[in-house]
Amino acid sequence: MTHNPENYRQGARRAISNPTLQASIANLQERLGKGTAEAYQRLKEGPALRLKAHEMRMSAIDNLDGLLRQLAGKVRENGGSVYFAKDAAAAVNYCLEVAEKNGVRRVVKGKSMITEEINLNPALESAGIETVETDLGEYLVQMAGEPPSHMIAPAIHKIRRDIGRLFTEKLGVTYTENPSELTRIARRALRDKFISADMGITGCNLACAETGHAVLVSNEGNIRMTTTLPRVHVAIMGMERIVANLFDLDIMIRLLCRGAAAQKISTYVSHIGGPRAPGQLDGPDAFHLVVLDNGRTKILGDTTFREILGCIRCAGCLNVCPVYRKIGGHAYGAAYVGPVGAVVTPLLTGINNGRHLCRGETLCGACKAACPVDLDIPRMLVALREKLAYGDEHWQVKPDGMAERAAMGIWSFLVTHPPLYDAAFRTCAHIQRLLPMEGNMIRRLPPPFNTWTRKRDMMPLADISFTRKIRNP
Amino acid sequence: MAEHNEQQFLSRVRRALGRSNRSGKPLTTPDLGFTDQIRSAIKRTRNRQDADFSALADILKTAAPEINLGVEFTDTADRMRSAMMARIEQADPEWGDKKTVTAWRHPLLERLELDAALSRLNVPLYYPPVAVSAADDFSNAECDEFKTRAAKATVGITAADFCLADTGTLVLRNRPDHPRIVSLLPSIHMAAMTMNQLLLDFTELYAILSDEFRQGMDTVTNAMTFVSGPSKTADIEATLVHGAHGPRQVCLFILRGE
Ligand code: SF4
Repeated sequence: MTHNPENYRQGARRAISNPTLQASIANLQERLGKGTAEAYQRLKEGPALRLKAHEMRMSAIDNLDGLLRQLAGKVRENGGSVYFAKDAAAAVNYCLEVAEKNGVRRVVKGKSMITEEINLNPALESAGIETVETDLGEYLVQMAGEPPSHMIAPAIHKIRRDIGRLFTEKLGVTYTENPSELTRIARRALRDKFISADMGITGCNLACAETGHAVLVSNEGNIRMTTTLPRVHVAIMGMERIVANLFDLDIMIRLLCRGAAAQKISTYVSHIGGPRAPGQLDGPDAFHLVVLDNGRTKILGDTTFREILGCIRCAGCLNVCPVYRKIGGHAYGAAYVGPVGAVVTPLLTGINNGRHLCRGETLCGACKAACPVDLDIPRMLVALREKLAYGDEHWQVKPDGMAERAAMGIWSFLVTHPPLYDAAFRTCAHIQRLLPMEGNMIRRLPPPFNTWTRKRDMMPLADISFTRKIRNP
Repeated sequence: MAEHNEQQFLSRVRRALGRSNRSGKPLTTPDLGFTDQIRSAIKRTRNRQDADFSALADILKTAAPEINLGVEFTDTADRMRSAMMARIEQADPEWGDKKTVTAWRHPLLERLELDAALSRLNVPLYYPPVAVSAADDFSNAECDEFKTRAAKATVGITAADFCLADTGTLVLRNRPDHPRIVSLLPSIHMAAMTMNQLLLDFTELYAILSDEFRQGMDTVTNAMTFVSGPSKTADIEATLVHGAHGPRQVCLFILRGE
């Protein structure tokens, strides 16, 4: 997956001209966006719990060094292994090593965005290991050879007819487009994979430092299968996904499920605290926890953006974002999409590279209101734009959009010099008569302003300015 | 190697947080003043009377249908067994031609005398094998054999540690004799428990777990699972379908008056 301004524009155009996609995202947002807001209202502590949770997340982030040390100690005490991975390559290599040591030929995966971030699947495949996504939506997009387009509803862009055809082609079953039938087909196909897999790989929604558990939620049960049946389980977590203790876990889990799917709780919540113990019949013989940095310490070191590490990747912000609603997930061209992606992707892959992402959002604030931990995404979007406007050494940002900056300079000079301002506008009011009009609107502006009028008309300047009217009524 | 990695990793984190590298400060787990809440939640759960449990049962009765969880209250072990048998009789085998049942070894389930009842229905019942001694571990073959049985079973019967009335959540902890696949692989999951195992919500549960954990008990175990209703998916055009990977039906049987 690559992201750049051109792909972004093309992806957006493609999504906007696809009526089925538009309808399914709208439908998803109508259900989940509204449902989530109601679900916060129904919290027994009231919606203010989000603010408490924000404080809790930030306190965990501020104590990350201690909490990570405590977590690692606990996991080892419980018989698991912990590996701290500096970057994507280190995490991928560790997984490959574990796979090789255990003679792994088939891997089943629980849905996880972090494995998309480090691009794990292609590495496993090229090491000759069959890698099967087991979340139904992920399974579908993997079969179709596409990236997921939503963090919790990866196949939101597919309609049942596509899926029916896909199954006929790839699994050789009789065509059906009935969702129950299709689910049953996938259930059977994946059941064999689960039972014969040697290794399970999952993400980690949250880790509890006090007890040393990786906590994972799912509705389908694929996470339970992945963490129970294979001989080896590897869980990969972003280093920030940690809570101090069981009490914080209670609040975070409840908020996560509300933010993600407007549910009070997802069907399954698994607390994984190490490998099978003697005398137990199931569970993996080995449990590995991989803690990933991959650019996160850099974010941690900048208090402007540290807040984004509080994100628990619930995808709640996608379900209300007017930009995501129109352009869908693929346009973002990265593992993390929507408002959270517009902040995280530039920070992880370079602000200049991701400039279109933070500029594409509208700053409407819907994401902040929908966020279970009340992250101020709009503030961080603006901060990113500021870095782009002025450049930044810490982030190695080259100033971008000099023309805009020059224009703003002229503007600020004008508005602080009223006589000049007045003269300039009176001149413009005269010149504008030369422009093509339709009704009482300007149809086209001359370059470089013509991009503005490419898709809209513009209101002409009034003959007598507001200031003059006030002064000489 | 791993050691070194970890130290470097953590010192990078410390630097980013603006702390000195050799900060000898002992770790303080941030506690945002919840200790009192834990205490009061625990007190509440300890002082519950019959009437309180009935009130919880009423809450559960409203929550259960929302997540498609079946709940049956019975007054005696005999009644509970009949209720279970009625459902087992109706069940259709999904993963084999023959209807089979697998169950935990658990005192409450023993009281139900499932063996005799199931043999009358001509349905085989498989329990997990017993480890010869506490230190004795199972061989791979033994584990695999039980896995195969559970994967073919129509019904899996467990005994929940707790049920949270507010969400209809069953809490199942991993212990010897209580394999977690029994609640996962069979097509139908049945769980038994007594009234006094009802709790109100997650806050009460985590408070109890916290408290026990801090007393040094292995309370969360190496795999604790919350189950709230049957497995489900909405990945195809947002249509809700039950039985994605886990059981397509879950039913809870609660014994009253104990
Ligand atoms: S920013 Fe908030 S709403 Fe968006 S994914 Fe993260 S936690 Fe969820």
